[in-house]
Amino acid sequence: MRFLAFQQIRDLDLRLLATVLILGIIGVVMVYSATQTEQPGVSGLWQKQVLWLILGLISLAIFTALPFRYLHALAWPIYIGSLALLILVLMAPAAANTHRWFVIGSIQLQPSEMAKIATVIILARLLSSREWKRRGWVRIAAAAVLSLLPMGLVLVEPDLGTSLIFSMIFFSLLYWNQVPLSTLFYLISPLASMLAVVSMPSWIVFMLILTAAFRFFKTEFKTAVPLFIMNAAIGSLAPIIWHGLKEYQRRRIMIFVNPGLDPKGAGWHVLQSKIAIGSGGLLGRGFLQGTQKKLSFLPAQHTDFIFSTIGEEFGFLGCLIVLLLFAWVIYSGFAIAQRARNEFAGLTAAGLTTILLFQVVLNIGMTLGVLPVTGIPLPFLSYGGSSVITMMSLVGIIMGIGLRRYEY
Amino acid sequence: MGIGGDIKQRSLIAIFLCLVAIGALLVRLGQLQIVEAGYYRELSARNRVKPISIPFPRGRIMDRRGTVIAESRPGYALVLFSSDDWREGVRKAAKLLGLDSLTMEATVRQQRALYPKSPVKLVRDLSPVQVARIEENLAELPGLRIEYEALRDAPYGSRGSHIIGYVSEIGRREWERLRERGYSFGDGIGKAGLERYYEEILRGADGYQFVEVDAHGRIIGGIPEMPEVAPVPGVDLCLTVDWRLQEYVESLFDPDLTGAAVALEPGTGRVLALVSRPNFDPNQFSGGISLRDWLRLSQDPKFPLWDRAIRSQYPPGSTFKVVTALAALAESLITPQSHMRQSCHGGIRIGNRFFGCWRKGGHGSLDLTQALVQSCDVYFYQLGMMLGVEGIERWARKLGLARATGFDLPQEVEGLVPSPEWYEKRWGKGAVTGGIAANLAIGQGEILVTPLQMAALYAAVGKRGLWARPHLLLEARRWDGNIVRQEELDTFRLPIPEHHLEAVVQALVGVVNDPGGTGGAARSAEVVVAGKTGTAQNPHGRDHSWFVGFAPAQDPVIAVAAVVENAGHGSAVAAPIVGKTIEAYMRLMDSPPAFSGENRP
Repeated sequence: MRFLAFQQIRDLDLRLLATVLILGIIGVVMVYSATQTEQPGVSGLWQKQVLWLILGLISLAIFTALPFRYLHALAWPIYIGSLALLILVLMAPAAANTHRWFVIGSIQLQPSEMAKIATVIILARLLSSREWKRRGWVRIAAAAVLSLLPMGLVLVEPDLGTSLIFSMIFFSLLYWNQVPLSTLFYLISPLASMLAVVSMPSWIVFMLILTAAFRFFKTEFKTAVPLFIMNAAIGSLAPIIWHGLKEYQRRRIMIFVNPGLDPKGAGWHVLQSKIAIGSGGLLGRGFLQGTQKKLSFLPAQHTDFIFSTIGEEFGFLGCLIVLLLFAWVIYSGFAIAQRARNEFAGLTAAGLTTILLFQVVLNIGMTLGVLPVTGIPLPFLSYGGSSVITMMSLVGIIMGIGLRRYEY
Repeated sequence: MGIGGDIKQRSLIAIFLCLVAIGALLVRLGQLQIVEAGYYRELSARNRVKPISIPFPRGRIMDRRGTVIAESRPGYALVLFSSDDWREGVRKAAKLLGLDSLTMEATVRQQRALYPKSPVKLVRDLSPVQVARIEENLAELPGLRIEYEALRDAPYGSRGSHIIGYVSEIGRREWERLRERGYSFGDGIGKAGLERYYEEILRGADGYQFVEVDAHGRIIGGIPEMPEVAPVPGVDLCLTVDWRLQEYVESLFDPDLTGAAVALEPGTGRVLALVSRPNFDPNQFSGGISLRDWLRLSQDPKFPLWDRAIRSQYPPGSTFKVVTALAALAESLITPQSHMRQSCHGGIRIGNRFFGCWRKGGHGSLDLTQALVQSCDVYFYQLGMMLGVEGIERWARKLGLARATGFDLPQEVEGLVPSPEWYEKRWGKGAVTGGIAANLAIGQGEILVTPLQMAALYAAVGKRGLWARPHLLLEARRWDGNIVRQEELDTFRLPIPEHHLEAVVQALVGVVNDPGGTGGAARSAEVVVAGKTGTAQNPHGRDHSWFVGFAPAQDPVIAVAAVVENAGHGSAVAAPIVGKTIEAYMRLMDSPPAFSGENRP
């Protein structure tokens, strides 16, 4: 059995590989810069980041070489294995008050990273299966259950940000699977009515939009009525649940949506991040010259908030370059998905690219103060073994799918 | 091919959405880095915005008449909040205050090792003179400043200490668990008593002020575009306790007595007084307790921090005979006039063991009423064997023993009423003999209760079967007068016919008022007291003395349980405490203003 034929090398997307490598190297450089502070014990982390990058490239190579039919065959074991890890991590001793990581010596492993990929693969397998295609909404319900399981386990860790990614995986795979837009809209509608219920006018507007959607999509009466009732019920239940929450739980959710409410915690971080990025100006203050960074005003400045350091030291131009590199990675991912050999491969590539897209947008949006503080790392740049290796493997799978587009 | 189906339209939508998302990020970047760059450059250059917290006053604790028994007073602490070259400043400050600079430096190093960026409280509760000395020399003390903090004050010292509890600095573990709820490192947190039980409403919320500091950490000024967040004061607690009675009951315990007393209002469960001895002074904790004081308190062999009224478990002794009597009556094994097969000759043989009565000369043949009045053990040994271990356990549980009452102080214990299975598990099959039941029937052996449980039980008997959950909180009021929590009366009816309860109450009246009764020391000339003495066998030393009673017997307004450790027979020490407490309360009720929740300031 051949994993990789030499003549196939020409089909490799080398530009994607190069882009990812550049991002990884920028990551090492920025981790170096972000850790040169008076804060003790972190200044050597860039060396470890080099190690993570090398390990990441190795796993990228492995996953590129691995034919994706093995992923199809192993979808269930991989999925169940990662669920088991998510359950195990909940039972493991808490680290920093949460159950997100296995702590082994000085290494922390975050099983939710792997679960993201596993969920994409299992959903791609389910949605591309011919037998399941005939089953209509049962198929969508099955996909929902498969996404909700890891999502729920991650939510109780608690890791609200990562659990959001799982819902986005679900919706994006349905989207690429040609599920009618009306169905997608109705699936999202309960979530939307939960959010819309913050004020009476916004809720009324939402219910009007829903009614308009029934007309627009020419939805049958027998489908529309239960949908309407369900949304109305959620809209009236949400306030009851809200008031049933404890004061501090409500506060946490409100701070999640609007960090400004917690000026000493999340809001403080966002303010400092904005100062760092804003003070970078057009060209930045120069490598290692960021004062915000140097005085450790930035929270998690070598992990989740690494983009703030980039903004401070390399300015608008540096940020633009990083964003363009990410845009190229995402474009390549979707392009490979379109040309993929079969539906499973295409869905897998599209789903994995969606993970990348959302992580980039959520993370950078957070540092710019336009999206909630979620604790989602920036792919390839943020310090951390789990994140770097997972993201590199993810790119490896995508490249493997691109490589085998002519294989029959 | 590819994803399948016609994907052109979907790809177009997706590309459009990606462009919108990335475009939005770019627009925002442009806004921050090009349009507003000057402003942020300025903020970054002038630097250094830091939030400082505005401390909040904790809620007060008041008795039912508005007497304040715990409140916050202003205190001043010396705080280090800059991270660079602090040593010189700390040394100078130590010199100014006449304190040891090495200890202060050690404090900084210890905390900085864990939390490099949190401010360090160097000295707390500074005197006005010390504050003045620091303020005068502030220019030479970079990175240091005086911070206001609210300290806890118990104006009555150690009185009522087990009701109030104490507040002390949040521990490291606790802080890591609670930081999300807004606790800062070094904040005070309720560690015992009401301060702990009602921590969530007693504490307010921190306010913040944003200030600019220079490179040395000195405050330059406020930042107008970042308004301060005002602190929210904590909620005041109004208690069911009558502080006058509390102080009186405290005075009834000689300083060297160890024990507890609980007085409560039958029918409602409102606790009027709760004493546990020895006690402690909550004020010791308010400015940070010194290690020496803490060791003295925590290693005292008499455990002054331990609330004996709800956390100590004693065998109930003869006070338990009320349970045995009610159980036998309810099971229709006897009537109040029944005599036992064997009369009392100072003891009885069960199996091959001799069980003695406390009166060596014997009581002769008695009915149930007289057996209770004279506390005849032989009568109750036989009753116990008729009920069996299982019968005693079942009825004790029905009467509210062997479970926490649901009182609003932390760490209330359940007590223990052993079941036959309990004995078998410990001592093996066949361990449950008649002798065990006989012993349990007089409240000895493995059975354990708290003073609070006994007070609640006797209150229920006095109310002819209405058991009420004991509680301390009358209402909790916010600073603006809004009531955020109110007492919830929680009652249930004992599953015992009223005429049986009436018979037992009459016997309890006899205990105190009949010439042959054991509780004559609790008698009052002003009111008819009903109650029962008890002597709890103590394998570690002298027996513990019990008395539980209520008055007026007809329709009680107060029930009191008292235990005095190592004091011997219940009639001698505990009974007078209960009698005097009842008399004092009756007098307080007569003298205006009468107790009520309304006439508080």
